[in-house]
Amino acid sequence: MKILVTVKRVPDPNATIRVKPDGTGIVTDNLKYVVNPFDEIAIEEALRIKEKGGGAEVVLVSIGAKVAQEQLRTGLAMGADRAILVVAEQDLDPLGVARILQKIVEQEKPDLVLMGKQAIDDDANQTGQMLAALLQWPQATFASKKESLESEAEKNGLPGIQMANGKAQVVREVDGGLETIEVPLPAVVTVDLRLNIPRYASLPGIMKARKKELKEIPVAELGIDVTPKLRVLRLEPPPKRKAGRKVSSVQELVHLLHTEAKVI
Amino acid sequence: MSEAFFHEDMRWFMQNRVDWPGLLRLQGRAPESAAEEKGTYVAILETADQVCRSLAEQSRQHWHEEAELVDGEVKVPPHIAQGYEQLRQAGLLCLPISPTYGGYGLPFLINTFYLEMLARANSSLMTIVGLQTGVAGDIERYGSEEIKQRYLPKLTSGEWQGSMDLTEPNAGSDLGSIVTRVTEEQGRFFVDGEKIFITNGGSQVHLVLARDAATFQKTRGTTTGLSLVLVPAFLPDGTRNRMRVTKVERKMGLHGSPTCAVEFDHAEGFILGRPGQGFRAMLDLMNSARLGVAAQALGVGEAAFQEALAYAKQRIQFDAPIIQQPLVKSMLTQMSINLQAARALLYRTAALVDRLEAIRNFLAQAPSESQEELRQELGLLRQIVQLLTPLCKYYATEISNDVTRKAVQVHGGIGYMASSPVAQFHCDSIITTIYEGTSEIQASFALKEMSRGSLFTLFDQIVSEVQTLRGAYPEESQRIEELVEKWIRGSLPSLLADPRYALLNAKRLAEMVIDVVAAVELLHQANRSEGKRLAARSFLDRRSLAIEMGARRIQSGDVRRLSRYDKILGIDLDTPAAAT
Ligand SMILES: Cc1cc2nc3c(=O)[nH]c(=O)nc-3n(C[C@H](O)[C@H](O)[C@H](O)COP(=O)(O)OP(=O)(O)OC[C@H]3O[C@@H](n4cnc5c(N)ncnc54)[C@H](O)[C@@H]3O)c2cc1C
Ligand SMILES: Cc1cc2nc3c(=O)[nH]c(=O)nc-3n(C[C@H](O)[C@H](O)[C@H](O)COP(=O)(O)OP(=O)(O)OC[C@H]3O[C@@H](n4cnc5c(N)ncnc54)[C@H](O)[C@@H]3O)c2cc1C
Repeated sequence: MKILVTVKRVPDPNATIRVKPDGTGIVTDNLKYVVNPFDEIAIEEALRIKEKGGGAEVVLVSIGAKVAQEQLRTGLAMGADRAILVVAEQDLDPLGVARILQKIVEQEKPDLVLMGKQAIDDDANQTGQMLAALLQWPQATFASKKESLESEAEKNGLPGIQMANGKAQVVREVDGGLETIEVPLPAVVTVDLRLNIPRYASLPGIMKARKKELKEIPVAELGIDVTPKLRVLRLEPPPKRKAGRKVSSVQELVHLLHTEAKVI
Repeated sequence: MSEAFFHEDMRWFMQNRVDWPGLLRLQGRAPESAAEEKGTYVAILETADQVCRSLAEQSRQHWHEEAELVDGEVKVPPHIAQGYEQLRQAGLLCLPISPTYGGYGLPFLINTFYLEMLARANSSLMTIVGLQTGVAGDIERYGSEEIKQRYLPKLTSGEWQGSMDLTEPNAGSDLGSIVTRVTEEQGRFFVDGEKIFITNGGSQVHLVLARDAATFQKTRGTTTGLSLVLVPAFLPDGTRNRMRVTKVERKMGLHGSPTCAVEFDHAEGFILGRPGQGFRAMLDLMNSARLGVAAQALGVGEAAFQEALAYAKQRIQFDAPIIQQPLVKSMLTQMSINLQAARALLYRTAALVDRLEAIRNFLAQAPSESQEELRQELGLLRQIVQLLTPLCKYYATEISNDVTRKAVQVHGGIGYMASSPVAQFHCDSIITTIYEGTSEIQASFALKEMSRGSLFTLFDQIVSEVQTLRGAYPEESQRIEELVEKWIRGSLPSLLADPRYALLNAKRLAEMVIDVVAAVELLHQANRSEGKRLAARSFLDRRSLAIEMGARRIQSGDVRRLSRYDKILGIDLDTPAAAT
């Protein structure tokens, strides 16, 4: 069994993001970068499948600038076996990324591709679906699990995705409940927030990660067209939140919601 | 970002103020790997950040739970035991110990960061981890290979913990009064005596400072004739050693850290280093422990500051958040600047410790005639570190007392409640000016070091460093130089007149010296942001006045001041209180 996990370098979700005055991007000075939190959950899930499910090779893949090595090292320190960095300094859109991943999947031939359902920087929520389409593989999106994150199963590090008989059973979060589906392997699965609580890299893990393989592939070597079909015109910060107002009774609140806010 | 346990000041300092390639070269490693090394340190500190964050959450409600003595065994509260287990699983123990014995060989600076973070999360737990690291470090340096193999792997893995047993009922600040004795019998060593106030006294590995029986009478009352004895709770054959914890104290703070009385009744031990030379070895442990306590004090201070800042932003009085009150804003600003200054001083010292150690190890292997330059640097570094260590301990812990008290004040009445986190931080902070040598002892040590010439070595360094900052900060550089030359040097003649007058002013002088070193270090950071530039500026403004005032106070008096104090206190030294 081989599991390919995607890892994106994104700004720290706890950082305050400021938009450049000309609206062309965000201010990146002194910005701290981390592994996309959804991808961290994907790595954790892959490691659990490996540990509790009779072994697997966990291969990480990132696409981006050379500095994304840092995030791959983090994943290796968590316990992944090796990593691939497709070096691309230019901007990419989800389709470009999916095309690159398609190539890597063809080279690596994994049984399962685990991805975050979206990256917290541009929140596109497209790459997993596009990759499955390009590969013509089955897909299961928004993998979650029945047990809560406070449950014993979670404390014992049990995986939420069940792998058996060449199939993956995935619990999905849908409106108003959970849906369980089964997909034949190989497949693409994207993960949601409530699948697991990722481990942190232990010190022995960090030390071991230094010796693990991290292969770099220049994007040009893949021989595909990754010119973005999507162009960001302008970024704007959200409007500043106005101060709230105190009301004296529920009646007044309902009245204002109806007449002023016009939401009910 | 400042809410991160892996503080911005740490990140910045390790990226900008340390010559990692130089350090690696001295260690016989490739200087090109500096970037990768730093990457590893950052990864480790990120893990520490996450673990500390969760420890802080888990332990905050359990602060009051006391360590206890149950059936002769020391029992720590659950949050301490669980927290320790979490650190153990993450591998966050004994970071500086060599990988040969199961550690990670990390720089002292990185461990200093870690201890600060851990103290901010849980100060009681930090004492246990700090001692374990210190004890392992002393064994690594002074133990025979056999001793190292026997004790280090279990300390680094966390199976065993350590303690440092110095204090006795009649030997606190004055370790020369130690009467616990170590006796040699047919090549084996046995310890008899009583130690008190021993942190984690239920540990498996005790480093005991004891007086050699053979020279007991001759050396009594001095720090010669002391040996550092490793006394294990269990002997190599698995039997229990003849020692026991007789009491676990109840305290005003640091409740989760067991403070024990330990009795040795002919317990077998193993001498570290040479018999009778134990004080030297213990000083090594104490020096790193002092910087450890400085880190602890900073961690607790930072926790209190963050709490106060958050509270002041949301507490409304007079229709506005209290942070808008000039007096409240001023308290918070002083807290912030002082923490930054103490941090700057501590990190600077910790980085010097790393360089000193690297040169020392390098020279130990290098041919003796060559390397004259390094040999010289080593000599200077020794002097500076010997001086800065007590200054760091003094300053960081006093600052911490002040910051935590102000944090209570910012909270008003709610800060005085037993359940208040800031009340807890204040109680935890107070011990830091007492153990590992009280503030008065630190100031006296620093004075002794200064009188041996280290003050001038430090000034030479500061003044030449200020030259490099002259281009960017002409006015500030000029002022620092003036403070050194005119005010501090200008005060020395008055101090030299009588050693008792010098002692009377030891804290004052210590603070003056600390202020200039911290000012220079803050100036190095001034280009980080506007806030940093203003903080450096404000520190210099405030402390220039304080230094000038200190100098005037020193210059205006002499040793007769002490006899005036006797009169103020109404003490007649001919009939001491003890005689009545
Ligand atoms: C919670 C806790 C944990 C501890 N952990 C340990 C431990 O793990 N191992 C260990 O060995 N000890 C430990 N100690 C003991 C601690 O190190 C001593 O309490 C400390 O060194 C002070 O000694 P003392 O209490 O005897 O005070 P004293 O020495 O009696 O001092 C009383 C006062 O006199 C001042 N004073 C004394 N001599 C001088 C001087 N020459 N110049 C100026 N002022 C002076 C002191 O500064 C202090 O203000 C611990 C203590 C506590 C409270
Ligand atoms: C043990 C105890 C006993 C008490 N007993 C009594 C009692 O018998 N009767 C009674 O009525 N109350 C009592 N109190 C309440 C006590 O008087 C208040 O706690 C105190 O007045 C402070 O108010 P506060 O706690 O709301 O703090 P806050 O008013 O919220 O103050 C928080 C901080 O903001 C500062 N601050 C607030 N406003 C300003 C301003 N305008 N300018 C500058 N700084 C400002 C304060 O100085 C403080 O540092 C008691 C409190 C305690 C802890």
